Amino acid sequence: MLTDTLAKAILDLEEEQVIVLVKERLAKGDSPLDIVESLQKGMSEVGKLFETGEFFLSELVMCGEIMKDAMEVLEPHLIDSVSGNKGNIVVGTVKGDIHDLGKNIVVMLLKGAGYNVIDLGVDVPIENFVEAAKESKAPLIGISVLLTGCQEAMKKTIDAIRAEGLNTKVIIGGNYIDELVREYVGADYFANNASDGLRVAKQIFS
Amino acid sequence: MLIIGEKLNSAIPSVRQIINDKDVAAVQNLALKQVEGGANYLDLNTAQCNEDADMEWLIQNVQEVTDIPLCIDSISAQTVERGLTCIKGDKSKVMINSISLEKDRIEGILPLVIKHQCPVIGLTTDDNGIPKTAEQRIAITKRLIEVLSKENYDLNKLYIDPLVLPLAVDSNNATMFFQCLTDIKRLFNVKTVSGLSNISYTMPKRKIINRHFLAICMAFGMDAAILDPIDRKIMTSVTAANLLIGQDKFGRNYLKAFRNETLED
Repeated sequence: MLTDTLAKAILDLEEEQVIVLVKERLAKGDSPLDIVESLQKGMSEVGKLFETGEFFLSELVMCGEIMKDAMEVLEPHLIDSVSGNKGNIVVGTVKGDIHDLGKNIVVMLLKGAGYNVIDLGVDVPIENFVEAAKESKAPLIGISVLLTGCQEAMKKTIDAIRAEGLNTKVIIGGNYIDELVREYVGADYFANNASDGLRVAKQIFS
Repeated sequence: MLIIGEKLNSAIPSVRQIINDKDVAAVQNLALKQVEGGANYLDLNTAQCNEDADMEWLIQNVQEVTDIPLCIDSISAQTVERGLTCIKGDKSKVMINSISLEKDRIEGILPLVIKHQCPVIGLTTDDNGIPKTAEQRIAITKRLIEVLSKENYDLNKLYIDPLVLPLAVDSNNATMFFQCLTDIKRLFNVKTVSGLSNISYTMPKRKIINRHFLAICMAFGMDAAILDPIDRKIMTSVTAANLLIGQDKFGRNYLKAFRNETLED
């Protein structure tokens, strides 16, 4: 059971209540990052209920919309707390996958933490990742994925980046990813949620 | 979609009986079941009984078990007035069913509607009876709106009932009605309402016709319906039609009904 009222409101798909609670917590002086964590907790519950067939697709979509609205409220606060540019990070959703919700949350958090994020969008061709990596000399590339069927594309993208001999780390992020997937596609790190991704970035740029 | 529950009507023989018998438990049960089924308003009609006194009795007993707004259904100004007098709570929530361009209703019921600013159902009929064509119905609607506007009535509270006639008499009666729904909204931007049972008069398996008629009316923008909210198949049609016409964001109400196990195939 979720004890966090904000996470619970997301789980109940209480659109208006979520926004009210986000604003309340901001007003109380809670850290925007903690608020994002609550949102994600609720969202991952919704994801689980969708997987078990208890929730329907339209509810998953609605949850995404609520998250988007909540992140819009949070965005200025995430950016406010930043000083300076900590470096470049390239982010995109892998070729063949058009899901952008998880990616957008990570992008927002990374921007909020002071990184210069080069967002390549969704269904990103392999060469776009390679080009952006070369051009920006980013020490970190993040590849977002939701669909399990896109593993080959992830592997090919990472192979191509490696083939250029770039000194860059690659993190893959997605709900289903684990150590096995990371190893198979040849990434350096993996993350199942946005805050894990943020931690890896901190580690690399420190 | 506003649902006006039609069950507490003395035209239904079993209901007439429980009103005549002063069976409090039975009328309260009928009221609660309609609320549970999804009614937003409960229509009350005692025309086939001792109309004035029974209206008062019915209102008092229904209001004992539910706060749902009521719809006083009578052509008698005296009954409407007595009903309004004994209503507990906000009289401006009470819907009046109905007014029309008939002289006695304009003179008798309209002042009560204006006095309490009640939502009202306006029938497209005048002293010449129910018109045959869509054009005549539109013309009556226009005159009715002129009368109400002169009294500074809030037209958002007006529900025009373009009066559906049986298909058995003329197979164009349904399409003519749909045309009225569209035109009334387009020309006057006021709400529309209808009962469902006239359309299927004398046909077998009437409920099939009634609920499909309802779904099509909703697609043509009808705002309210007088129906039996205890009938799960009709309420399933309402839920499904709301989803189909974009009135149910993310299918929340449809899924809620599914989880409450109230949807019926």
